[in-house]
Amino acid sequence: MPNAIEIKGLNKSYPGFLLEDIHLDLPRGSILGLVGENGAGKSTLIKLTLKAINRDSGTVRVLDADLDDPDFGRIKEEVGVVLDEAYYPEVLTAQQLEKVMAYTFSNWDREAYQNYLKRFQLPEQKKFRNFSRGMKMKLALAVALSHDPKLLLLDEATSGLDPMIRDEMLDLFNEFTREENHSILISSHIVSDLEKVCDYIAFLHQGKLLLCEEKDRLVEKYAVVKIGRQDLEALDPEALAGKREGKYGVEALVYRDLIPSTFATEHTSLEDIILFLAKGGARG
Amino acid sequence: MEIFISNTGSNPIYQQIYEQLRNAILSGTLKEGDLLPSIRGLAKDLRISVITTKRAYDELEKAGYIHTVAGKGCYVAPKNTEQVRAEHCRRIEEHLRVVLRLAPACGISSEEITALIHKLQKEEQGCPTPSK
Amino acid sequence: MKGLLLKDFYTLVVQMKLFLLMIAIFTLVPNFSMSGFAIVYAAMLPITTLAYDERSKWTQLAAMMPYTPTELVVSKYILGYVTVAGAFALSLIAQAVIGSLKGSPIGGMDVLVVFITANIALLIQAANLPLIFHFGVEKGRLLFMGIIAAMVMIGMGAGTFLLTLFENASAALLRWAIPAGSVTVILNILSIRIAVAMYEKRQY
Repeated sequence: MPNAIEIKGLNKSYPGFLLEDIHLDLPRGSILGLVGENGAGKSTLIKLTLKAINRDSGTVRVLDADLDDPDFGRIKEEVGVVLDEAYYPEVLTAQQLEKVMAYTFSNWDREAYQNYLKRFQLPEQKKFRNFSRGMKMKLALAVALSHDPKLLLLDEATSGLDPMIRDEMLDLFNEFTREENHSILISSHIVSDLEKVCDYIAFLHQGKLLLCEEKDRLVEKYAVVKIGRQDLEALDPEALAGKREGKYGVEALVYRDLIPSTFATEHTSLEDIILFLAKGGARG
Repeated sequence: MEIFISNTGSNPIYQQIYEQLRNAILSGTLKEGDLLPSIRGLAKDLRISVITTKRAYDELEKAGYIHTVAGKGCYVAPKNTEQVRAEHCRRIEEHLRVVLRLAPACGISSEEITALIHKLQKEEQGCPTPSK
Repeated sequence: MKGLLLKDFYTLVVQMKLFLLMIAIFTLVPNFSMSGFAIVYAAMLPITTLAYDERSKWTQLAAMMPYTPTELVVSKYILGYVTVAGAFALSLIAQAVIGSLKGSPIGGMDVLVVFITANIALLIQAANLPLIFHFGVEKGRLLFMGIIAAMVMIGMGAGTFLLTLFENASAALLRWAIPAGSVTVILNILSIRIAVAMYEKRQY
């Protein structure tokens, strides 16, 4: 199967929350960034992927195994997980954690773990109750990477980190995906965190997946134009993907292909595109 | 070989890679039979998307600049003289267009341009014109 | 499973030191209810580890790792069995030492009472863990207090009943130890089943 994750028609409802009809593929060897505001359902989606919570309906396949396969648990050996604000018990030290994980993952790689500790400059003997958020995230990532995983599921792994550490992590993700069968699903509420590192961008908004597309195509496909109201009306309605009306003019997200070449388009960041689409509720 | 990616340019990233690799091949920096960096390796080194890099390589292959050997990688294709000629023609045309746009602005006739070209040609061929 | 137990052991290291100290102090006081307290405290240790788990949200992480719900649940029971067995052994040793120092070696009755206490502790654990897995540590702890109160009342009634029975019959030791043990085993098996079901139903 060419996809590391395949989600079809996934539904999950809580009181006051609905994850609706999610279709999402993560092609093997690539990095998919899952963007969405806090509470959009990113964490829920990630947890559903490994059956940590039960879904209402839909099919999910991870690394060639169906979530309902009786031996799906075996797949978890090949997945490295970092969750948002969920850590290993904080009274442990990095060294104790190593021993626990050695009994947890059958392909635990002690040497790799110790190399990561060194690389991240994490103390081995300190209880990590007093670690900074950055250090905790690094430790979690060290564990996630030290059992020869094929897939990383990273929930908000880069948010709240200072730019230096974040850059270090992005390097690490790049390194990891040098292997052709290594894939990453990473979520964040900050688009620019993901913009640098992802091959695909998916946008989750209020429990619905508004968009899932190749990152560079997205930037090629859409452009922001600043025009007067009259020009806007003259524009082919098909070409319009979203707009923001101000007092002195209109900013519009348009399909590059469908507008006359005389329009001055601005360089459009991923964040702009996503903001416009979120407001317009349009489908990519 | 150096490759620069600009994220602010209006040129799509795959096109930037395409053009820079093509220029390297045309200028001889990359020679026939040279192995190109792997798609994945190049993408990760440039910190860009693998898919985008693959697209650039696909375009290069389609245009005949490189060919893929399954399981080994992409190699610079034998130079197609016809194709190189066409490409050079295209670039000459491009430059001449600029000349033609500039010339009327300061009242230079096409005869004068032709004369200028002949003069420059002599210079390039190593017949130095006496400097003033 | 080994990994989970090791993790809980590490989280309890500090607690353990306190626990050993407590047992030492309690058994120095020649009073059975004190060693009883130590044993019941031992049965509470799995809940302490669950509180740590919840605070660091380890439960969420564990659900994404190669552990089965059964492993996650059973490891807590096993932890309880190990700590209760430890407390049981320590109580007996301490009493034997004190007894021989005082010149009154411990008899079968003493062993039986400690044994029954251990059984009560395990029954408390069996009653409590499914609730904890269902309601979480916060609410579960409140319920735990209720269970303790109920147990103490039942225990007091049963205790006087037992004492009247055994007043002179130390031969009855085996007769009562076996049923008490069997009840504990059966109720624990039942409790584990319920707890696993609770765990699977709850969303982490």
